[in-house]
Amino acid sequence: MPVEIQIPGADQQGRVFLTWTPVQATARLADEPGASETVDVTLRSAGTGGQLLFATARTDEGSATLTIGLPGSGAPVPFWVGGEFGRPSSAYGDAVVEAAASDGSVLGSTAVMVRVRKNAQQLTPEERDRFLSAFGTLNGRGQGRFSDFRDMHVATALDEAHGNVGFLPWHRAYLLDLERELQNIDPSVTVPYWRFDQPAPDVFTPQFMGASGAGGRVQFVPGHPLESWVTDNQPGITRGMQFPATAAPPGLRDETATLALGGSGNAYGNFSSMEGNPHGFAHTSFSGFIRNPALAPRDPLFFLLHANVDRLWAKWQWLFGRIDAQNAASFAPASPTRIGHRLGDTMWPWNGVTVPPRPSTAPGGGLASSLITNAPGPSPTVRSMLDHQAVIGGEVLGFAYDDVPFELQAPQV
Amino acid sequence: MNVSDYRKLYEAEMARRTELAGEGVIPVAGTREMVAAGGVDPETRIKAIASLPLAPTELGGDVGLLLATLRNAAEPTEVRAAALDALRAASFLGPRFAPFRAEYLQVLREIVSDAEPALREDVLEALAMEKDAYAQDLLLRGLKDPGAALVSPAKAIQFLGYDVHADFAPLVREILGREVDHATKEEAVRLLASDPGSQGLIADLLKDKSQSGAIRALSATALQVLDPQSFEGAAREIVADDDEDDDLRATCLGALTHIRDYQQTRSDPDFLRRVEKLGSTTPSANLRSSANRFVQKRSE
Repeated sequence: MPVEIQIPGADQQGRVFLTWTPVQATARLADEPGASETVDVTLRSAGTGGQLLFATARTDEGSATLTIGLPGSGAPVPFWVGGEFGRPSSAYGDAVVEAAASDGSVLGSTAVMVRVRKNAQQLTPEERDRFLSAFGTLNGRGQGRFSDFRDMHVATALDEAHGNVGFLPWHRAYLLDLERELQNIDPSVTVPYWRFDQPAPDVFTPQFMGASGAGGRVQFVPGHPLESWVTDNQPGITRGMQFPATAAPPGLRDETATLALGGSGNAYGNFSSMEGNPHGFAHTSFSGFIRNPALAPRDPLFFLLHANVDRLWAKWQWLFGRIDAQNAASFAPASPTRIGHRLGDTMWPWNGVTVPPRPSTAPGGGLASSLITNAPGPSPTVRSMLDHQAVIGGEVLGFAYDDVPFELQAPQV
Repeated sequence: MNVSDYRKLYEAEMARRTELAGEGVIPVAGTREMVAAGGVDPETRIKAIASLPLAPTELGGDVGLLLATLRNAAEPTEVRAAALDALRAASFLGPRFAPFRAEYLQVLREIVSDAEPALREDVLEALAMEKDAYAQDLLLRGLKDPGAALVSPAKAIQFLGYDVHADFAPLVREILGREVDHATKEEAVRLLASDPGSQGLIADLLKDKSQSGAIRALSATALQVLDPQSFEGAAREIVADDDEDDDLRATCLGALTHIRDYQQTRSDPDFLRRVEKLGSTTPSANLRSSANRFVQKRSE
């Protein structure tokens, strides 16, 4: 009596990737016995890595098991499944949806991955190496798709993404676009975050993001995927550390102080001042590329730095319920008013607009698509970046952070 | 983990940390006074600099204070360096910082010959990243006349390299032809990676076993930029040569593994067999890892 489990968003190899947000799946009796009675089947999480929760409705309080009745007609029965917060996967297939009969025998199973962005300091060597391998391929000795991402963050385009309220949404889209391109190479990969208010000694090593050698040049172990890193036709990465790798950079606002920036009203307009500190100060904790706005993406560390910036925004959004664009505290009017920084504006370069005040070129085309979601589409708006976990509805953007949960009834503070 | 429980734990932890952090925090209202106060110890002033709000609507006040601090040679070097860091952080505010940019660059030019070497180097780096002609002229003068050098030749070449469209290649090729230290040689190779006229020189460096491993590895990457086909051929020879430096072989294999262009090599069964054997016989950990990654990727 086999049970067929269908989870939406599978890729061409049938692989399924989940985050904390539950998705609606189905189970059915595959051999369609045609009997009039219903067979009770228990759905359970059976993997050795990522863990799953199940429910009959969309909720943030799923259970480790769920018993549903499957009709003998073979008609599919819907259920909801998502990653169990705090228990993500380390590799594809280490999370398993299993359907069991009343005697415990397995009637069907589907391997999935609970794929979320993680603290770079805590990656397993395998996770680290998969990320680096995908990144090295994306760079392609300077000839790969990465050159578009480098060209999106140059001096003539900085106004699109800095010094105004669109800073956070733009960089969220930027990271998402890059991450999806990495996932086109290896779908098990996410962009890890460099938690810059904590020591990260395992990040700044020759095995991972490189150790700063004499002269401020980054050194990797021979054969490392980023050893052939090229940007602007120049090999290598210039990065000198202004702090010991066993400590966090001094002077940066820590997470607690950053989340408090919103003030008594927990308003986005105040919170977004994190663009100065910790964001700007994280950049200037080094010498080299990452210290200058127009050169910073030449250093791959840029994306781990910005993943943490984005994580802080996501954490603030969750903590204070700042996801709904209808809530005035969730965003702020552009100041000064500038296209690209208002909720309804599309964002360059993905909108392809090259008419002033937009830059004269728009590298990279539309934002990369994803197999697990149609959101935000090739030309995202500022608004489409707010509710990345689809808490208030709509589609997920397909990413989540290991320490920011999906919570439906977050209090509005 | 139950999400409600996580929220309670997180909120409690935030409250605890907020209370702890409250001790010793300089109130925002007092930070500017603290930065400007000459009699206060440098550590406290540096902390005050980091606490400046850099808020969009008040940036002018903060930037003015930081520029004055940076400009003042009587200030402790570490306080001036902190002011420079804060200004560079403020520069990430893009259009917000734009009104102050001209004055910022002018202050940097004024202090570029500062007596303190670390600050001088930071200032020159900041100017070079802006492709400042004045700074480039100083760097070039220093490369031609060591007595006029403000930074090491290696740093000078590195900083000149930030202007990717300028043509410093002829001078750098000439420098590479002299007796220079290893760091200078490395920076020269990096800069020449974007110079088509240096292709032969780079290819020769890669093949020259008398060169250091670092120079040859750099040359490998540089040749990938200048002539990928030539690199692919050279890399295959190096990997196949058991008398070659194992780390260099690992470097070459790494490039052949991760760069999708090298189809000829990736689809060559003889090469694959050779690499498979390397993966199981070489005593070099780096080469073994590199070989195994090549084999694994090849089969994906």
